Amino acid sequence: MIFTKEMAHQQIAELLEVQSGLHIEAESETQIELTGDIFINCKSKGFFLSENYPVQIVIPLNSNELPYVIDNENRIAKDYPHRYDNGKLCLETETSIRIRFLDSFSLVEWIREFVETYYFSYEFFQRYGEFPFGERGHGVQGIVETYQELFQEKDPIKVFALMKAICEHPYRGHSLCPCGSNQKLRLCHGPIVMKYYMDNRLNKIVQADYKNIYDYLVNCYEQLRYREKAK
Amino acid sequence: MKNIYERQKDILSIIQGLDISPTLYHNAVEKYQALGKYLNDSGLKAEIYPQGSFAFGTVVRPSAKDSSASYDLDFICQVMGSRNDYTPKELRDKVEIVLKSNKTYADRLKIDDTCFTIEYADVGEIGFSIDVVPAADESDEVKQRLILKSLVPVLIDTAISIPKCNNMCKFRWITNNPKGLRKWFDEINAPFLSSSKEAEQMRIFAENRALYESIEEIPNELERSALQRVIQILKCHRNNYYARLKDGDEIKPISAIINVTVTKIAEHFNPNCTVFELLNYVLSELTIYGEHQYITEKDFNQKYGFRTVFSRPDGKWFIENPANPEDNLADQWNNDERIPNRFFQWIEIARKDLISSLEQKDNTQFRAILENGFGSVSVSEFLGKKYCGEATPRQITSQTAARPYSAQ
Ligand SMILES: [Zn+2]
Ligand SMILES: [Zn+2]
Repeated sequence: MIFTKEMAHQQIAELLEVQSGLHIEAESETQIELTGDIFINCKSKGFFLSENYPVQIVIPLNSNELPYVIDNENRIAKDYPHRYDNGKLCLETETSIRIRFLDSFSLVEWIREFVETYYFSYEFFQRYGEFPFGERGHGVQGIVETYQELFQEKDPIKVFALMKAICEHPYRGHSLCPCGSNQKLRLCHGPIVMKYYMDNRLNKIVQADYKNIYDYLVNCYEQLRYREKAK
Repeated sequence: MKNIYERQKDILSIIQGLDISPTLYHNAVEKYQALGKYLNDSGLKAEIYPQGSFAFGTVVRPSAKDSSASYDLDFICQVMGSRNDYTPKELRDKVEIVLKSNKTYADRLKIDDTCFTIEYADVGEIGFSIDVVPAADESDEVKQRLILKSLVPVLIDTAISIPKCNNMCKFRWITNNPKGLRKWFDEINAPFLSSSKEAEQMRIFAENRALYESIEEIPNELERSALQRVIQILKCHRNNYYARLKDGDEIKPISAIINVTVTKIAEHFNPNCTVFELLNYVLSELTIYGEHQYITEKDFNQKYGFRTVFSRPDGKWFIENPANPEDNLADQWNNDERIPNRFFQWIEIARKDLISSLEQKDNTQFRAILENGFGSVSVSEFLGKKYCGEATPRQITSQTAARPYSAQ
């Protein structure tokens, strides 16, 4: 999903057809910047949203970094928990977005599925004090939640064990499932997790997330030990 | 150009559509009067009279999950004699036995803790149900006590006692005064009503040519004042707002709170106002009362002067029932702080939806606001496709929808 300049321009042209309030604001060798209004017109859970939002959209070029949205006119309330201080919107976990666009990235679909839904959740939350589709836990917790869904496994410890196995071993259906069930992998989590072993692109995503979680846990452990000593 | 006046008219036409129709009104009156006659013919000396929304003329069709929701109309069945003549259980049984002994009623009867419900909804039609609460005259001792406490002692005479079952179905007496409350409401409503009377008669007559041959035939009970419309607008908006909340059923403010607080606020307002002038005033006053959440009673009184519709002595919320000084309508607010918190958040949303959005939003945005405030079924039913944009709103599938996430 690395954008070359040509690919980016082609997709931007498609995007401007459905979101005519946007225009190219700036362009360099490393990124293209769009600004203007996006129009959002959707409904769910009995709530209707029809509204324009001023945004800045940045599309990094020749890079593995995902496009992102900046609330450049501060339309999102300051106390809303899913907006970074620099104005960047917390759309979803990178894991979810990357897996959604594993085969090919589409700017139009990315706006529709992630950006529009973001604003919908925001307005629903402002009105009713609840998230219509829930929210992710911050930091590592949200990543683990994402894998809990992908692996259809509620226990985060088992999820972590599965991720570890995906990163460190090849797929062997007859060996024991890493979740600790004492069953063969192919009779347990195998059918669901097999593609994360087999598909290189998926495997890479799991590797990166596993390293993230691992580093986080090591860090927590170090801090805990340090505090014990300080006592 | 945004035509604010036309948008206000459209909101009113939704409310008019959700109000009880003259046909249904006559049908309901006929049914409750027949019930009264039946009870008396069966030897139970009793009077049946409306209470709540039906008595106030502020009925709105409940927000429909399907489009055939029926109206709940509330009545008191006041049996002759005072509460000293019966135990609560005896009184309740007396009414129950007579209702069950007639097949017409027995077949439609549902019984719960405080009332008997008679279903008149026919399949495929918008119908109604009649809730009958048995009661007897309140005792003189209690009335004397209430008179001493009351700001409007003349209202107390009509106080009644209702058998209420606590857990384990032990019945005890509860004091209530729906007739007194109606009298109080009617007096405040009278100047509002007389200012809209002529226009209302013309409207009802024009809309119901088949029903009435002359304006004189239209019962006064069908005319609506600005005050009644404001109450209806807020009740309908409340229904739709709380229906979206997970805990909405638990924390929804009772209609009596809307009826009483709006009426108290309207009491000193110019009765020749339009519906939306009054609505604007009521919502801004309710916003001020929301300050009770953050500042002390003393500071509130200093800052906002003589505003007593809501008060909070010792931190306890208090909304006096004008016809029963011992009844605090905000009782539940003191057991569950979600109720007041959400109530004032709702007021803020209602103010945005019903006042500021009328001038700030374009047509498609306004359509979305109408659907959020009054329900898409009702908006389509009474406004058709008006204000709809070219594109229909896209449905987001909740199972697969993105959820906001931040890495830090
Ligand atoms: Zn966030
Ligand atoms: Zn397993």
